[in-house]
Amino acid sequence: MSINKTANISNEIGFFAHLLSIAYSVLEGIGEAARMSVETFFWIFRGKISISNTVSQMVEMGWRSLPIVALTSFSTGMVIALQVGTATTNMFNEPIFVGMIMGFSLVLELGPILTAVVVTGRVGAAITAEIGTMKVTEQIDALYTLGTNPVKYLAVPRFLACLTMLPLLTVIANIVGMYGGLIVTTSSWDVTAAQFMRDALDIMTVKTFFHGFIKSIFFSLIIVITACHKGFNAKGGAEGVGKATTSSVMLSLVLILVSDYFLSSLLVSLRIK
Amino acid sequence: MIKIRNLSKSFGNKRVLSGLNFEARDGETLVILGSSGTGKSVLLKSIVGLMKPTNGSIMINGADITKCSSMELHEIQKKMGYVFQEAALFDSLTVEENVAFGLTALSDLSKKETTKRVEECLSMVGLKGIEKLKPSDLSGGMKKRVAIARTIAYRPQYIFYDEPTTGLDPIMSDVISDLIIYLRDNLKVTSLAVSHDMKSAHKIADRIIMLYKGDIVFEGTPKEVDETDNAIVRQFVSGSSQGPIEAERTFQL
Repeated sequence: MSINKTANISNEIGFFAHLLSIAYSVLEGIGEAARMSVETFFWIFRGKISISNTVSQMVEMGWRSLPIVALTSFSTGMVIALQVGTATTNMFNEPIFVGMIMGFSLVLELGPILTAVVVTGRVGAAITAEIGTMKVTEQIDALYTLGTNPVKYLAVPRFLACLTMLPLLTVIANIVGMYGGLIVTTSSWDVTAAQFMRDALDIMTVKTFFHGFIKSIFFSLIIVITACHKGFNAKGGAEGVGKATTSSVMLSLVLILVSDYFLSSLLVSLRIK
Repeated sequence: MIKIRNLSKSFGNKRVLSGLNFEARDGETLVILGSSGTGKSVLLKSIVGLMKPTNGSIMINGADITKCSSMELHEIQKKMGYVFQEAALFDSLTVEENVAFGLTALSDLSKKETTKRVEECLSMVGLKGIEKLKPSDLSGGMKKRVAIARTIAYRPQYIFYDEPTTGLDPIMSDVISDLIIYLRDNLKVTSLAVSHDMKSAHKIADRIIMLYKGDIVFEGTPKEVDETDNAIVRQFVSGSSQGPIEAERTFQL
């Protein structure tokens, strides 16, 4: 009986110790990511920016992500228009509110979220894999011995590129998505392009646009900080880089989806809607 | 001159270096011998500032790098060059950009002077004409030589070699050893090389230190290595699995 009791107590201690070690590693990770972010801002504010590196990252993140972002948004716009048009036709015998619902859902939510998800998969994974490979092959140490701060050389250009390109891609995604919806609506029902656009724009204000735009800025910070942090902390060869990349993408997606509710709630309470 | 005093390094409860004391004199090549896992690379990385020692001091040109500010450390680091075990060339850059990297970051040379210096360094390591190739196009020996060219390009006072001949064939190992001697004689650099390649160590070393379980168990010239009665050194030099150095084996012959 006392042996069982002792075993139970030691199991409980083991469980709490395990929880504590998880909490410790989570807090350690947040601390390291915060330190890296502060260091990144420090180099940006000191003006230590490599223009050529930043521009090449902008091309990689912005220009090269454009086709997949546009395709995703265009298809989503078409699907929303089809579903809303069909549903409202069933209810009211004509497709009403298609432009308005599309405008709101794309500009407020789907544009920023879908673009962030696509960029996480394409750009976030690439950043972690590249920096992680440099870490495990001692290239990061080599940078240091050659008088170059790795955060300044690797994180700053990616940070600036992501911060500028993701909001820009989101704006383009909104426009392309609306265009997809417009094509489906005008070709499927007796709705003119002017009617569709009036429907969409009548109800939206500049604040509606800013709502999505501000969210995309936050999402870009989540993607680039998570990706760089996971890359700089990769260890253990190819397997370690693989794990860091998976963990970077998963963490970014979770943070984007969870923070979306709180950001939306905050922006609505600030009347940016 | 590099002076190491009571240098210790631990990872958690594992003590890797236990209070090391030694010096590397100006213009000499000091080889640090030891089996895998004895803390040779940790020692080298601590000296160049890639790792922070747990205790002790590392004096380089009179300044203790364990106590100086990051700006002072940056200034001292300009005098140091590190040749990594796996070369650690930047994959995304060409050979020319790799060799010019340190020059651009650490010197005020013009673009023309940089290009000239890159050519000069590549020619010094016997690799003229490969400027436009990427590291993935090079063999192991070529990568090592480009890494050496990248290090000597900004003319450091100290060069640290992390197992310079590991993974190379015997002829290429000898070429690298000759190159290390050539650089010492022509550029007057002070070199620290960690190695477990006895042939290369014998050739390049002015003095040899042997590390075992985080401690220095021997210090002397290559000739003294040959003549020592130290059982650990004797076993290491002969490459025998029988002796005081515990070799991990799960089978009996």
